[in-house]
Amino acid sequence: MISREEENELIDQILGGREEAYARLVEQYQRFAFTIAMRVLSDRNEAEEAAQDAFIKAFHYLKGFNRTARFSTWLYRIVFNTAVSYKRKHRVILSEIHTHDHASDDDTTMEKDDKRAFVSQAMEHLNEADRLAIQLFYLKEFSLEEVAETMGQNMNTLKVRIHRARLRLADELKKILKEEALTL
Amino acid sequence: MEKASQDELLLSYLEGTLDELRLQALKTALESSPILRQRLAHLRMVHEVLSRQQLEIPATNFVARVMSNLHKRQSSISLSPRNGLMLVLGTTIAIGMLLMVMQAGLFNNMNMIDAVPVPQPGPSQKYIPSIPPISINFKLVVNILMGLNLALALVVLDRTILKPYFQKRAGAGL
Repeated sequence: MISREEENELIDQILGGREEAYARLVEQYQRFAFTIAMRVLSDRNEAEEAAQDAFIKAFHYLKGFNRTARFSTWLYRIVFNTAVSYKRKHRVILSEIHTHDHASDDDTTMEKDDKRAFVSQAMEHLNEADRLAIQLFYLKEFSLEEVAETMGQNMNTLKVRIHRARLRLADELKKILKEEALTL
Repeated sequence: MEKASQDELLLSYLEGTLDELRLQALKTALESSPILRQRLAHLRMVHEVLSRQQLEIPATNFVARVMSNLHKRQSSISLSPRNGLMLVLGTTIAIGMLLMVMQAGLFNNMNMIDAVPVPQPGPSQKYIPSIPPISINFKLVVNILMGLNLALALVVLDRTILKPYFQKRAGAGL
């Protein structure tokens, strides 16, 4: 993990023309950026493309980064917006791929981990914003403030979303498990 | 106990934020209520599964790909905002001029292109038939030209001025 001072120093170097210093920032935040893109797009290839695009955008906007927030928060917002716009652009293609991926994913996770399969089945009943909010919230690497800023929402709205999502998931699990019990 | 407050209590219990008093009250309620126990089991399942999530790992060449593509995006925008603005102005002026000409009624009576007059053949020459005049609706042609100009102006405005401006603003505002 790099410190904020080190981060600012790297940004100064990049703005001063030492572009290769940007590789250090990309290296540092690639997993975070890719995870956000994955949660939005649910497709590895699209997520990689979106995350890369976001890093390239961030590089070009770096002059406009005012450093009041952390670079990571600023970057996550760009990643999130890029991924959302990718999703809008490729909605049809994605929905096809996603359905396919999910079907195969379910088959394997059902064997490996029933709980996970049931929860992911319940997740399908959440709206997109709630699903994303709860997934990012539960990733230990992101603070509640970071998730709120990344998604462009205030903390209270986000808390309500997460709370609502958890209860809805429990409701859906109840239905799913009831159906499961009936089929046994 | 109301369902909403029960849920609150159960979620606080899962997060480990219940004080001793409320914890005891919940334990007593759980012992006597199978419905509450079931609700806790479902909320716990959600909590456990989501807590196990981990960061995704991108391809190993992710950094290299970002670094090699750093300047590829820029080349796609060939016009600077200044040049874009000039082009938008140019097309707007062209549209304005065409509109003025249209309003002046210049094309109202121009629907035919007369054929080039064919010289009359002499008595020893073969007869050449004259070419009939071609009918062209100039008004329609000008309208199409104006439409194309307008579309071009809007595309240029979007690509060279609006898009870069909002992208820059989004970048600066974050």
